[in-house]
Amino acid sequence: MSEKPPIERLKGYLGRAWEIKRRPCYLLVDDDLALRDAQGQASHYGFSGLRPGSDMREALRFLEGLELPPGQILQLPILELDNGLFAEVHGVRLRNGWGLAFTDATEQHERQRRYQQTAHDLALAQRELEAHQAQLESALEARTRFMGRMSHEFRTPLSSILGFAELAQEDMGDKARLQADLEAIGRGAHYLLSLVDNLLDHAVLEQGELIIHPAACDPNALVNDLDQLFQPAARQQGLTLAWWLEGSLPSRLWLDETRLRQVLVNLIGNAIKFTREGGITVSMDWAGDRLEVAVEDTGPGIPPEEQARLFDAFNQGSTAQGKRGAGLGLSISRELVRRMGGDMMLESRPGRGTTVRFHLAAPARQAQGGGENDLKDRCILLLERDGDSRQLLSIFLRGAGARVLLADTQDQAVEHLSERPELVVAALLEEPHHRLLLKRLAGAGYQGPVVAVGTADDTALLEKVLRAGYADLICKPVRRSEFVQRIADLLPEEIPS
Amino acid sequence: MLTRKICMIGDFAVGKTSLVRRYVHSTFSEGYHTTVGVKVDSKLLDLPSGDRLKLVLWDIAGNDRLGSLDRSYLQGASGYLLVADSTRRETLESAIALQGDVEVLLGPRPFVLIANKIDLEAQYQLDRELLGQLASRGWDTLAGSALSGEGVETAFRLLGQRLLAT
Repeated sequence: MSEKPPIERLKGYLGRAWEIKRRPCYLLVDDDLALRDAQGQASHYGFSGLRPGSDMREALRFLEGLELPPGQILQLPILELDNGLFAEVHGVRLRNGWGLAFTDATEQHERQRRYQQTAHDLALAQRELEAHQAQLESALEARTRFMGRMSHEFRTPLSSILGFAELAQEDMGDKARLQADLEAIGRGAHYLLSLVDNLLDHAVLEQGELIIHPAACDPNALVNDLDQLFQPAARQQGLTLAWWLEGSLPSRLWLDETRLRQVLVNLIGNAIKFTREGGITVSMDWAGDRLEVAVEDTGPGIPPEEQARLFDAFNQGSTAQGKRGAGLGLSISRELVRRMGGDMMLESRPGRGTTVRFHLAAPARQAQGGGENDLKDRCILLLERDGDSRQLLSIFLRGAGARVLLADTQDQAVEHLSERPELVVAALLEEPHHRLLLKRLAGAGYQGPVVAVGTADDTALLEKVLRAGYADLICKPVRRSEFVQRIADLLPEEIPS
Repeated sequence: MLTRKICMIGDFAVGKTSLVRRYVHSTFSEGYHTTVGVKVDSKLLDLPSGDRLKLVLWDIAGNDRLGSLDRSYLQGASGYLLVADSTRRETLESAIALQGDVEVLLGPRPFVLIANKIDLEAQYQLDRELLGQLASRGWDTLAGSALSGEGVETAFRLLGQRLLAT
């Protein structure tokens, strides 16, 4: 018996190796995808129980809907099968069906998948990096624009103040004109103050240092204040300013009134600034220990593509062109509301108006007395080195019915403890003196609350001050009603005998 | 019953596989898993006209232009769903380029453009003006989300109607 030539043996060996690795399977099906014949490793591809006439429509669904002429070749380099494997499929359209060859392509699939997944993940990551870079560049541009705008914003009221100050010197003899000059100076100064306040708030919020300071708040009084503040401006522009307070609104709420006022001033101020006709409606509702507020205007509205960016710092919408401001109001307001346990949303339709809604945590608080007698017969020790400030605060306290003990040194304050004050108000001292004061008062037997009075710049100190043992920090400029209210809230319920 | 092959066409990671999963299996999974080759699914579509159509959906690997391999997968397709990612501006440009490639390969075929991932509204980046221009050229365009299911059924149904109209 003659041996096969080496080339034939090689072909046989490689053919078997290829069959072991690629597991070929051959199928013949008719036009209805019924099996006519099969050879090879069909079960490897999930084709089991095959016999002539088997319905192959589900297994070979990639042939359904394919309208190819006879003789046309079909080639699918990688096809995912129902059993999770991958096959390379070669097919030929016959006159009355299909001829198909399957070989295993699971390895090729895995190799290509790894390469492709890495390439796509990298491309997506690079895109994300580019987006971050674009965001940073945009923030930088916004800041540069902001600096330009701020220098203009500061110059305008400063020029006005300087101009009217010069005029005031010329108008000394004319009381009416002098009064008008002084009012103009006051308006410029107030605007400058609000600009500085916004910038400081933004910086403090960015650094996460702003602390919310809840106290009892009368929402009706707040609304009255804001109404008096904004009605003249609204009337001047021919707008209506209406308030809608739900009956469920408690007379006293526990929240940071200063910050709530700041948010409302921002929102109502914006609404008046941008509305040309119609009006502004502010509604307040209260449910589940939450205050819900909506400020609705009939202004020009904001295009959808600008709405998301409006809460970004230093950004003003296109409708704000020509209006003054730093583009910080909405950003600060939403951040403040979030710090107060809530959130803020904006709905707007161009040509129809804008509604800004927010909600915040505001538990109801039992009403205490009000007005002039809030501090009636309560004994309060006031320690303030600065004479003017001491006089102003003592007027506030006495005006509310308190008996006030005045001290301008710590020694004097300690001496006054014999008169049994129920609460101490002390100007905030630098570290470590504010701690020493508490120690001296405690050492002399005083156990009541101590309230610090500082400037807005000291808010970073608040946490330290509270940690040191102070009951509260009240920031200058101090408003009479707020000051008295905060003191009343902090006073012990019972007068010590 | 009529049976038609339709292909999912679009750049990588626009959500073609997720749209098919949402439409055929009503499921969605987070994370991106690249498609290699092709996966074929099918679904019966009952149209308001009373027609019943079997859609054979070819989910092929995404790219910004058609490659030589994609051409073999597209062979015999009756129509296609063009997919863009509404959070990636460049995927609309890819979709437009791919539509041109497919038309050269297959000739005019019905298609519907879906801007996917509309649930990520805050990250919307597509050029609305360009979408408007496409619509005025007669393109069927709609927004949808494989995550929420919004617009998915509508897109396939619309494509089914277009297939029967040709």
